[in-house]
Amino acid sequence: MEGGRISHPIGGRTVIDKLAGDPSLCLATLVLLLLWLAARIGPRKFRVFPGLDGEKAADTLLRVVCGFLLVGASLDKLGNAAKFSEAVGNYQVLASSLVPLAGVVIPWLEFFAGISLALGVKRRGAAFLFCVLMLVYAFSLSWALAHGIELNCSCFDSDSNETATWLTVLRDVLFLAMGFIAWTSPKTYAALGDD
Amino acid sequence: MEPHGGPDRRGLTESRDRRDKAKTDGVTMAPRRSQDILKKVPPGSRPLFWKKSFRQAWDLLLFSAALAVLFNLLFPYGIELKTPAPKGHGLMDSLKTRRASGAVSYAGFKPFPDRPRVSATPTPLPGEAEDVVRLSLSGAKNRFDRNSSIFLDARPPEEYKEGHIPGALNFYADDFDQAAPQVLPLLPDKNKEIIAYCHGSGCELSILLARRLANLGYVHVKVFFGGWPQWKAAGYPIRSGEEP
Repeated sequence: MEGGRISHPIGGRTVIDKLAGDPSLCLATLVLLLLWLAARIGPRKFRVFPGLDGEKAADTLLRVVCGFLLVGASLDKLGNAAKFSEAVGNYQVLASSLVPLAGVVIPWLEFFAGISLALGVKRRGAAFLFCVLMLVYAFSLSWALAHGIELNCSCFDSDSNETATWLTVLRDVLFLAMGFIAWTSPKTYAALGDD
Repeated sequence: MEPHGGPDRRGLTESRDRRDKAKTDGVTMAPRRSQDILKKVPPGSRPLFWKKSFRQAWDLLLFSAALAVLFNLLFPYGIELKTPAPKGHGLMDSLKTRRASGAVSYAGFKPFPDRPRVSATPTPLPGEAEDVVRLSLSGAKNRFDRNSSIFLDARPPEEYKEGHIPGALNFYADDFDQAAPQVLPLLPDKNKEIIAYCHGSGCELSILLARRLANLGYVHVKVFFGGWPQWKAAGYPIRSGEEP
């Protein structure tokens, strides 16, 4: 090991990293938001299913996507509190005494809020939590980036080699927009519980 | 006849009439709030939007937190919630009074402290470097411009002589015990921010140095992963020779 060289911990992105990368997710979220906008302001004659309320269907789509996003983000962290705590600590935003608690609670909160959103049970509360989480993530990332701290987002995969950038912040803001729509929409389809 | 107070009062008057009639008939009526009647909100309607959101969110939060703590207690790889996590220049930390004594750094952070049930946890590999705070090029340059941090060059002395960041002290990580007596006296303040760097992102010397310093009680140790190659490529000031 001449000069102590090792493999680059940040480089070498995998295919999954690329697919779940910030540009792809930003683009997908933008497309979803545009679809929602089209359903809201588009002329009625262009609507594909005559019996379906386009606005309500678009709200439902966003709600379910938000739910799956949260569940997907939580799965890797659920049994890996130590690693996630380190990731939370690396943001250097939270008080150090709160970091372990956040590392334990946040993945479960994401999981249950995601399930609630996807199933439409306690939808308003879950969507509100989604918005709060996205706001916190966007703020924390901005704080870290503004202070020159280089970190892995650890948003979906704690082993991801992807370094957080301002595009990650934009992604979180777009997610926040989706969550806000899911929160404020009056009614959605396929809601199992009290909507 | 128009009731007193205009048309908006009609609902209240009607309600009072129905209530009086119910009282005479011996029927119990659910109380209705006057603002509901004025807004023509049917009885038993859903609570306010905000109230409902907060209540549901609070339920979910409590449920998740309770289950998370329980799972953490039962799960063999659970972490110690009372353990102070690594202390840094956090937003909330900076609001508190900084205390030097007993502070724990990121590099010394042990996710599984002295609890027997987590003793089998694998330690991170040296290359993973998840336990050190990394700085970007801009972060390192900002600190260099502000002269707010001490830069430590973890490369061998020969490479340090060829070129280094101005002001950086040479502290070859592989010869830590040999270099420590010369360099550590120059780092008396354990709260001062220290930035270690080496050959670049493929180098582990800076990580090793950061961990050793953190174990010695240095609180704010960070690693500039881009290191010397990135600094040099950016055209930032450099210096050669033995002098910092």
